[in-house]
Amino acid sequence: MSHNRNGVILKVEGLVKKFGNFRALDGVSLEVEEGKIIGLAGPNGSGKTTFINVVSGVYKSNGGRVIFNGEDITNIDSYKIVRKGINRTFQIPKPLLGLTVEENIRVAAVYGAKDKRKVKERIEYSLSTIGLEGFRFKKAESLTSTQQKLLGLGRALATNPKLLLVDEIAAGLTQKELKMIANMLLGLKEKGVTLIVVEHLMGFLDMITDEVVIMNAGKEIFRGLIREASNNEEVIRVFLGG
Amino acid sequence: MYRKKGIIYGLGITVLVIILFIFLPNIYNNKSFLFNLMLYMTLAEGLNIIYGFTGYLPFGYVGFFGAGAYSAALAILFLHLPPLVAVLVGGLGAFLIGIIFIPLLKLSGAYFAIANLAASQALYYIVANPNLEKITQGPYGISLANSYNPQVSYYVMLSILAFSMITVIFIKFSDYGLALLSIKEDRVSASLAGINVPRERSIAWGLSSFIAGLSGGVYAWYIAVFYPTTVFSLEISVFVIVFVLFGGIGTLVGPLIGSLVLYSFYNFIGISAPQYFQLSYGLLIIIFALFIPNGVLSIFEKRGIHVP
Repeated sequence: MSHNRNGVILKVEGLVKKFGNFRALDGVSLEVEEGKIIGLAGPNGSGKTTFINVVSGVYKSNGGRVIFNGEDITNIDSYKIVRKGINRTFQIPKPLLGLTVEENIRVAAVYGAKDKRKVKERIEYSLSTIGLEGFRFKKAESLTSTQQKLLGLGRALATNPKLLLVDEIAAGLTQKELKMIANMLLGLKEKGVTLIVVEHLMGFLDMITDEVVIMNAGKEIFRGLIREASNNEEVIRVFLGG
Repeated sequence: MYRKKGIIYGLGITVLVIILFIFLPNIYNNKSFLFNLMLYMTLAEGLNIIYGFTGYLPFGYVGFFGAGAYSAALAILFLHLPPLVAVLVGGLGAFLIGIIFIPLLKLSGAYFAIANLAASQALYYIVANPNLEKITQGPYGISLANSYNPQVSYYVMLSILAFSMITVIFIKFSDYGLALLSIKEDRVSASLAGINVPRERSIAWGLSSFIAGLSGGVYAWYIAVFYPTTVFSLEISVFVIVFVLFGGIGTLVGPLIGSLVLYSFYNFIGISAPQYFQLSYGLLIIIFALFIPNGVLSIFEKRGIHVP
């Protein structure tokens, strides 16, 4: 039986990911408590998206461990990770363009959730959460970029995740859209979903996160409240140089 | 609702095709043409399962056909099985080859197509090897003259066509079909929808190879005398791919229309003006590739008419 000690849903220990000689993740360790929203920030190339890719099984790690709900899920296939309760979105949305919005969500609801019952309910829940009920019969290719991002979120929700990894969802959105997405993510938190949100926009992270983790060169350099980060010397050096 | 409707229409079309091929020999006496038409329709539906739904284009699809033909023929010659059972052995023989070729599915795009082509050629060279004359009769061909029965094999071919159509219907209008289409669109996204990509695509691959093997088996029975060059001819792969593309991939009716139109045209030109065959056939394919690259059925789709 899986279990999470002290409310820790995700525990990452010394995670390493190498591309040739380049260490994109250089021994990252991180604990995430259940029901929290953790922001993951850092300059380009700091390893944020690589972290999500390794935790979600898209990339295999070269070292370290990923423990989810007390169970070691290091380097298992991504479809198994999804069925255990972790899913993610992509910075550049990757919907199944030739399928309709509903089909995109249906296939995730059927194959991705551990509980194979209540497929219809999960489809409706995902559609209403992302606000695309009116587009259910439209092909994903006909959606705007923002709608495609929402669809990516809806597909992930259809698999009934306990931990959702959100990769730069705010990039390129208007203020109105940012508020809408922020409310959506806060709504998910209220429903008990734990979130790790990778983002460049610190203002957006300030709206939704309990804590932020700042990464640089494949390592964690700061963890704490976002307003504390702005006073941290190393964080300032990394973001502003010098 | 959409699925129920699709299955009903699809099964209706299947019944119509069965009735047509039962009665057509009464009004058109070129039974060989009708048999080959059914054969190409079946192969086109079989290729459609792996190409139309998962995007893997098997240029060496004929390898399964040839494996089926030889498996069935050897089952008749050495195991003295009744031809009907031997046809099933043909399907299973090709299915087994399909399982052996599963690692090819780790490749994609042109790499997969070329590797599959090479694999089917390897099969041809094994079967045609004169050193294996005692088993496969090498390049000298196989004779099943004692089992020759064009009447019964015609209806067995029709049954296999119906089986291939029903398989496509249930894939197209099921969650499994959605999973295959997801794999075709993006394997990473499909995996993150919880789809076990290697497992689901291998099932499709197995079904596709089984149908080609059954077709090869019944073909061997129907023509009774054949050579490795007959059943491993790359022309068969090319024809089937073109037929599927012409009609419309991922549909039930597209491969049928593609086979009907192009195979009829092939026969008409091949007999009336064989010297112009390659020129006219090539031109036709170029015209269609330029003006309706997504197949004939896409014309209806654009007008909001959904053909299964």
